Amino acid sequence: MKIHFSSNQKHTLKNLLAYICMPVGFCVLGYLLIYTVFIPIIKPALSLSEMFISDADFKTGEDLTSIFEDNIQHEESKDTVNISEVQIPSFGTHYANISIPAISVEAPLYYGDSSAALSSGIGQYNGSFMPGFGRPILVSGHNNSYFNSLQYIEAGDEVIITTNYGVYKYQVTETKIASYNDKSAYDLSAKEETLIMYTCYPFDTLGLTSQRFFVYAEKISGPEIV
Amino acid sequence: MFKRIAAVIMSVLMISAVAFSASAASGINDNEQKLIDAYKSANANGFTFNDYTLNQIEIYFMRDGVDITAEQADQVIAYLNEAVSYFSSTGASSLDALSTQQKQHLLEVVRNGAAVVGLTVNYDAANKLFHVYTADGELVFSDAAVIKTTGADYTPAIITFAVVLMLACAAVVTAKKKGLMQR
Repeated sequence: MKIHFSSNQKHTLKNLLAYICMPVGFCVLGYLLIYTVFIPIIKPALSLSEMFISDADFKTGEDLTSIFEDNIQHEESKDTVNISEVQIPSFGTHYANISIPAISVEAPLYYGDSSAALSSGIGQYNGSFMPGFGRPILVSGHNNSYFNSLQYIEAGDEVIITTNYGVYKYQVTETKIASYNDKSAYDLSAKEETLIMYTCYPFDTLGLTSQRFFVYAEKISGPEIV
Repeated sequence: MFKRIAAVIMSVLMISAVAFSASAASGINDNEQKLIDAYKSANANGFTFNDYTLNQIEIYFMRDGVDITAEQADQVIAYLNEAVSYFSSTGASSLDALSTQQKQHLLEVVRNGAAVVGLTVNYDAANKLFHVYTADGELVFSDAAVIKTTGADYTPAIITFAVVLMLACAAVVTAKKKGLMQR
């Protein structure tokens, strides 16, 4: 059965569409667009706020905690530190600070590279070792936040990792662009202390990329853990 | 995939379910080194434990309060050999080649081992990841990818913007045709 509208009803329907439905519809779409665009910015802020206001039990890597003590005076002449003085952190624990003065990088270093850790600082891969153990250290950071200036790093630049048990300095030797699944880009079985930093490449990419920018640095000072 | 399960088996068979949030480190004793060596030499149809698995195990042993005895080391090695033998006997070259029943058997070994030492194995089916936790919920092992995604993805935003633009154009055209824009 066909429904016939009077001219007044048609006029009312047109007004309803023009002045209510269309604006509401576009408001909803506009909100979705703004939310989607600003997700990369909102998420780190939310992670930070949750870290301070949440009373969750921080144990699983996505919940962050800290054991880092900023005001420890370290003896520069100390060559070794007893292993009993070293705290092995849990996943998601801020245990050190990492700085690269040449490119103005200054960030907390977390044990574990969960999304929460990478949103709040630099994350150390849990299958690599902490400074001082004489083994590879693999750390990563987002290319649009803490490791954005990694693109300007050069051989010879110094990287400093400050822990509760000592200050470690590394000197950049080379950089390399490789695929994320190129296992030759890192050697976690090595018996020497190499700092390997990486982030997504290119730095200005709009979408996900399969390439990573790797930076390699050799240890130049810091106490050996015995 | 077998490497993952076998690594999990070995991980949960660290018979010292110690709770820690930030415990002091200790060294690797002879029994733990014996275990690490057993992991390194394990080979099931060509599959071996990778570096990141071995490193996580070694780091776990370094945690204070984790001290494996000789008896415990022998027991763990026995479980390791059982897992290796079982997988080898299937003739499979990958976990995908195993039947559902065979996979279940391997997983059962993992869970039984976890129960013995108070560790919990969590399988994230959505991401196909194994995580091992202590009784207090401390994460001690994860087989997540070594290299993570460390960049923002603006693709959804670009697609959304394009769709909205198209809808806006369509709405204007429709409104004009229907005379909605006429006063």
